[in-house]
Amino acid sequence: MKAWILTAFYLWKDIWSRWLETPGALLARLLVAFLLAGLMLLGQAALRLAERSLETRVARMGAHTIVINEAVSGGADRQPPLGRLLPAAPDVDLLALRQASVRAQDEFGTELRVLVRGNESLPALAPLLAAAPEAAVHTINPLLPAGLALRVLIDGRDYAATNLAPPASLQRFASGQPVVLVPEAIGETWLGTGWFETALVFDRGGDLPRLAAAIRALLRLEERHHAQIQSPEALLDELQDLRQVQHRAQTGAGLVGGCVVALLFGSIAVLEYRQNRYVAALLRSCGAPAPLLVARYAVEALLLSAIAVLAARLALAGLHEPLFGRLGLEAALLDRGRYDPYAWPLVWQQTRWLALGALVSLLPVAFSLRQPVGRILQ
Amino acid sequence: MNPSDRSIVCTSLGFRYGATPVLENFSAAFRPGLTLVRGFSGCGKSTLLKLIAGFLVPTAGRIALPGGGRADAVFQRRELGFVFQQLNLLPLASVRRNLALVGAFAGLDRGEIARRTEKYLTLLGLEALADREPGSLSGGQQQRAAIARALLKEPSVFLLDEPTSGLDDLNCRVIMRLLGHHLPPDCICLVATHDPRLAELPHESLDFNRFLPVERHLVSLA
Repeated sequence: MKAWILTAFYLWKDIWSRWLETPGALLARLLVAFLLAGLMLLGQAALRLAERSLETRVARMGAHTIVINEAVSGGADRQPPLGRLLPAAPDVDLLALRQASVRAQDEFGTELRVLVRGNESLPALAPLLAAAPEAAVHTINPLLPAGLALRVLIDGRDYAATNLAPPASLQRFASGQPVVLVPEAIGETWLGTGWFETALVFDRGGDLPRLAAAIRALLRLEERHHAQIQSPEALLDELQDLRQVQHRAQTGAGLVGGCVVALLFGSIAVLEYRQNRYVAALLRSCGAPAPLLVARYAVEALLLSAIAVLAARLALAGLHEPLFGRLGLEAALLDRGRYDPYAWPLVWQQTRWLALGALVSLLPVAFSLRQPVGRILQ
Repeated sequence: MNPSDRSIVCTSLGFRYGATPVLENFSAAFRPGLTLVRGFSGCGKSTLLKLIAGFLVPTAGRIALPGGGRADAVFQRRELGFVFQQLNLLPLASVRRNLALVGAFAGLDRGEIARRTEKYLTLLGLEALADREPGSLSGGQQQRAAIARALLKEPSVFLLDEPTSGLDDLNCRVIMRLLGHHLPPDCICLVATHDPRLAELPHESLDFNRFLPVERHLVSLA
């Protein structure tokens, strides 16, 4: 072990001495690796931010939610509501609410939209309703505390109501406006002139495209031509495409970067080995194992790559906001506290190719070390 | 122990650099003690030493080391001392550090390395230069340091390739005294040389010129 430590110490001294002797070779390697790492990290950050932006849009829309809107006019030939038409399945949740054209107001004078719920929506609403005291009707007003008992006037009739905590899906139904939720038994009378129905279909089975296709087919068969479907399929496809592009770009850039590093580092390592091969042979003649001598070049190449990557990361982290801000990305996306495209696992994911290139650059030296000592030393 | 077990035995040894044969069907046995391998430049003396050391691989024949072993890495680390014609010392390490490294590879403990370092530096008159790097030493000092380095592990096989080539008489005498009186016991020492000054040492001799008829015409030309 002591021999290994002494040899390692000597080899480190050798590396240091070479750096001092030929600073040009050192700087060339650092500069090229810095530029490559910088470009790779910049490209990766751009793709990650694009992906993040798309993910935000998908999340806002509801990544696993299909929205169907339909306006139905009153009359004898009116069609059944979407809530009764849409498929019920173990891995599908449904929330369908019909907006009635009737005036409602709470005791504080706040105008409320009237949403009528059918029994088919009860499973989706159950957690919300179970958390509130029992009442005939429920208001959802973000400005009032959840559980508050209040009086509501709907179409001139007075009802006792309880305010509910606003669910995330409320935005879909009333653009965040306060609503009053009434059961079908009460609300049916206000739907005679027609309604505007919004149905949310939550996919829990992980096969959104198939569910969307089934709903489209069903609506076509039922001749519900006025129903509009909003599905995040296109965005999800776009996200998938972006991820593929990202993967290909990462791999491509990594391969190119790795090759450049392997060529440059390899050439310099070979030149240095030629100047130094007598010393390497002398060490081998003393019994130093060849892998230890290869390790000298590996340590040097990896150390230089690591320094270059660190410097590139530092530089990009400093320039992140001004650089991507100019591209019009929203401030929340650029907040590195919330999402850091230069987090170490991401940096490693991209720059491991440089490390691989640095290791490949050792092959010529490793091959040269197979030459018998006796052919080198005189 | 059979005397042949303590000798280096070369049997039908052959070696060539590319297409050029250097040794062909060479057989010899080297016993403990000093053997001078003499011959003109290029006759294959250095090649023979490198073959025995395991630094080159023979193209034919075999070499049996003392005890019947082979010239593997363990032999090179523990049993072999080799002084090359040029570059014997690591340029970035002091003389003392050069010796310590060889001792560590030979498996010697720290105390033994320190004791032997002092012993051989004193024998070769290098005490004052122990902490200097090879680049600041003269050719003679470097050669003496190389011999100290090779002797530190008190090898059973000690091979020197032109150790006095280009050295003045004073340096030469220091080396001769060491070879004459301070070799480890039972050490097989081969010195490849064409330096006539070394003939004063008690030795066995191997005239290499007889193995290289091609060079004989040089005798008539000289």
